[in-house]
Amino acid sequence: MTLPDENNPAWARLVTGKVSRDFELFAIKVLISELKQTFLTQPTEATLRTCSRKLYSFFKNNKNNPRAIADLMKIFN
Amino acid sequence: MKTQIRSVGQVSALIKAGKTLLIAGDEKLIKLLPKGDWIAGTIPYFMDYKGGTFSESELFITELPRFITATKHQVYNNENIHRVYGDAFNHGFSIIIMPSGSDIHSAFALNCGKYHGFANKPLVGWVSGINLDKAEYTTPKVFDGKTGDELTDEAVVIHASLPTNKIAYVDIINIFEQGDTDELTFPVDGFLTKDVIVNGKRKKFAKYLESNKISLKQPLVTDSFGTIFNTSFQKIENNKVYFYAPVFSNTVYKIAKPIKDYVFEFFKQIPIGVSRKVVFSCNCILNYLYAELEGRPTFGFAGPVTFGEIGYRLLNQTMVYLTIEDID
Repeated sequence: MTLPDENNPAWARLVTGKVSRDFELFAIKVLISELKQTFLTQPTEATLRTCSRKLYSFFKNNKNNPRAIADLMKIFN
Repeated sequence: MKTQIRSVGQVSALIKAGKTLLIAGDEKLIKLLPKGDWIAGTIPYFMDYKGGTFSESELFITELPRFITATKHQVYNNENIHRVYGDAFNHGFSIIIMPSGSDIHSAFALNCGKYHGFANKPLVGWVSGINLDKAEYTTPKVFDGKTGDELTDEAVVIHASLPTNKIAYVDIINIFEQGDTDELTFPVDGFLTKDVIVNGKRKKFAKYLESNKISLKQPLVTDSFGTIFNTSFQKIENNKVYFYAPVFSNTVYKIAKPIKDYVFEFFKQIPIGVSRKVVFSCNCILNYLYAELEGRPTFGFAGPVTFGEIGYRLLNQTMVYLTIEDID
């Protein structure tokens, strides 16, 4: 699937915890845990943008990783 | 997984033959090895296929697969550890070893989540330790085989590159879950504390643990948005409680549910068929001790027993493993 861009609101919804998914990849579990904690500690628009960009970058950097693709589909399907 | 307990002579021969090795063992043995493509950390406890093993006369080796296309060694200190993810090959994995109780151990544990590219590339490894009976006069160390350097305050890393038809995954087995206990928070981040905040009220943590008859075998557990992380107790000394990983002031902890049968709980969580794909694994010293693993089978997993595990971040009382799979 095509990777939605970093401004897609789905990234922010994961960071804020408005939605959650049961991810398979341990890396994404660890990353989301870190990003959610960062946002909880400093809940600003700037933090949310930074965390959303980090989440998007993870999937961009792992675009050929089958388990990352499966987790991406859980977010957008 | 090509892992074995071997003599210094046998390991030296493998190094001279150009093998890429991860080595665990007693420092006096590691110092005898020739330079080459290896990194090492001190520890005399291992998970061998025959069972948990203690040895100060042999080394434990993990040989990285031949299909790895390149390796590069890097030593990290407090100034450059933030680059550990960025320095990794774009397609591969990295293995890190750092000495327990060192500044780099602390810096990584407290800050790795803020590093550029955190968790974007597979990073796995362990915290080196000592023979627990010689704690007063030995220090955990790591070694860089390329230079032969012996290090007490830096981390050593082998970054490895994979062919495009292979991919590396990091996974863990964590048998703990939060118990139905008080909610605990801590006033400051760190590896030790005097105080704890129990359901909003500040108390002396050592006294709290004693009066509530809490076993130090049960780690602190946080449910971090669905992912369970442990922070293990190391000791209580002079009314201070010491941990194997830092507690964080912005995190809520509970004491873990007691484990009735360690070995059974581990066995239950091992994915079917995974052990044949494992390239590297390590297990916590506390699992080794509390599960009484010495001489008992470890279900197809072999590797060093550690003073902390690394699966992207510092972990405690878990088994961490790296698998490599084929992709189309």
